Amino acid sequence: MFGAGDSAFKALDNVSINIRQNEFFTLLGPSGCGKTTLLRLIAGFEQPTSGTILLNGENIIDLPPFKRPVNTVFQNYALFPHMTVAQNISFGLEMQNRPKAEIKTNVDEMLSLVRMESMAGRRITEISGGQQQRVALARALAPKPKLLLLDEPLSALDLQLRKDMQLELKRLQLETGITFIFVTHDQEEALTMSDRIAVMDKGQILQVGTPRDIYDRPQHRFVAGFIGEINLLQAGPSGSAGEPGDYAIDQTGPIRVQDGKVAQQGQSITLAIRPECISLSLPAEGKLPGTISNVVYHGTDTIYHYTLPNGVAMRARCQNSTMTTLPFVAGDAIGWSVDPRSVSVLEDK
Amino acid sequence: MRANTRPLVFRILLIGPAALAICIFMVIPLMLMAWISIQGRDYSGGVIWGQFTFDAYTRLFFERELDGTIALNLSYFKIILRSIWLSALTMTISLVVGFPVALFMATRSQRWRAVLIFMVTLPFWTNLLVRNYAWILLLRDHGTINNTLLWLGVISEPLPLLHTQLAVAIGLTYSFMPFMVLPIYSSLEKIDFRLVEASFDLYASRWHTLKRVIFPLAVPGMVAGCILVFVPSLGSYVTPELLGGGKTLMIGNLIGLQFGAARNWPFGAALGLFLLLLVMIALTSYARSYRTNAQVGK
Repeated sequence: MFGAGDSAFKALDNVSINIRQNEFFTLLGPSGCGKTTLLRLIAGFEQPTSGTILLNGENIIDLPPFKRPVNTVFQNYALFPHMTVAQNISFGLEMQNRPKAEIKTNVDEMLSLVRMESMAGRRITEISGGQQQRVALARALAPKPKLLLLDEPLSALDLQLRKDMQLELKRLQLETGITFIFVTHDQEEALTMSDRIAVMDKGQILQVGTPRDIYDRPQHRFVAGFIGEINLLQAGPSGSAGEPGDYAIDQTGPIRVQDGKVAQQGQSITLAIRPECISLSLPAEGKLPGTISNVVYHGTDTIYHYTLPNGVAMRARCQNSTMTTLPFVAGDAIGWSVDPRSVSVLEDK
Repeated sequence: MRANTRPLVFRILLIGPAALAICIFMVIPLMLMAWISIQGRDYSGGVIWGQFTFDAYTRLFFERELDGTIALNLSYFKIILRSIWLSALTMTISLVVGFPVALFMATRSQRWRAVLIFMVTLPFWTNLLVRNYAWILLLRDHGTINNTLLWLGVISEPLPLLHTQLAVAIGLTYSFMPFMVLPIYSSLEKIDFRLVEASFDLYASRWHTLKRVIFPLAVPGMVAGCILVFVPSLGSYVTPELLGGGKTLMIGNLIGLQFGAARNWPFGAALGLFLLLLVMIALTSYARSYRTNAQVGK
């Protein structure tokens, strides 16, 4: 559990997470949500006002950064400009007083791990951003830390390079077996690489789970909105139907939800439905009504914007294939439905 | 190139003012000095124009005995050596004391830095002469330091502080310290603090971080500071005159003496050129070491 800041400003408030060994764990949130502060607390650059940090059961809160078996890949890489690529990588090993021969083999190993063998003698200023990124990774991995912290390391790279490095990072994590804590504000990055994600906002952790959990089962309005597109609907318990999963949308109709949570009588809840989980058809019995307001073609899929009778705007995403082209245009009346398993009930915050 | 298509007259007009200033303030005085140094000596002061001799240069290391033979005379050479020694000492003390000061300044908050820079430059607001007199008051036999030590019973009679090499070294260090602190400060200030964090992160202690990361990155500032302290120390006049009490002569005093009491202008001019040569050697060696550094490093 951590806490940082004072009464005037709390960067982190009552944060508690458990990160498992060999896990690729991502802290995801908008800028200013406290994810970097959390990382700096783990690295030892900041001191919490209260709380502890346990690493393999050992409290590391009183250790200075240079005594923690934790290494960081900095956002701007922070490579030493007066040293070569190889010197940067060997720095941590030298500081640990490892034998010279071991340092040599270790540096060579790291250079080949990040595919930078031919650049060993280059100055930091003589290599590209993507190469600097690799050196920063190699430098942080070389001392074989128990935990590797990565502070938005891909944000300075262009799109294609970023995609390559995402796969590269995942490969490195699997090959080295080191626990990675990765900080990002990019939801796609988080979804593709992580074993588990913690979504943060305003100094608090809102939800921790696998990418699939977070995406399919958001528990908070913020989590639902931050990751991917989502439709939010107000609903109340349906008056007549006795089943706990039955809700009614104002002026529209009943909707069945399979979410375990049971709403109290008279309580209004928020339902979250991913656009790709909605199936559209012609108006029919058992379908919920709506009117198409706009159709936007996106190549691989088409987004149908439609409104419910109560005025709520909805989006449905349908994959384009020659077999299933829906002939709807703006103004058409449609029917829509959703699998009860694809509806999440949100905790209002 | 556009610049080359401009008319010649226009280009001359552009370069003109700068060229004129360099000519008037540097080239002409230097030529004059070189010219005077190879003229005959007028015993009543000044030179005998048109009488060429290299006596002034032989005088640097040799002297003419009464019988006309020429013998080695190292007394001037000793003064030159002492000047180099005192300047090097000043430079070293300034570096050892100035680096921590600059590091302290560079690690303060933005507002504190402005205050500290102001305080470092504050002594410049007073005349150098006045500041050296102040050191006389501190260092003399019954000055502040000796009186305090006597009163405390640490010593039974005054320490000979004034009119020693130590007094000159103290005075020079005091006078030129800001020239050491400011360049080091400016190079330290430019260091990205995240590099220090990276170093801590990679198991380097405070001392190792200082040695392996901060020092190497501050080298350009330290070298600039050393030059800025060494060069004016070598040619200093007021401080050795007042705090050395005429006993601890430096080249500057020797030159002053030749143009004044000794009335040997050619020798004074030759000494001046010799001083210039020393400074040039120091600067060239710096430029060379910096260039090799730039090739390996940076």
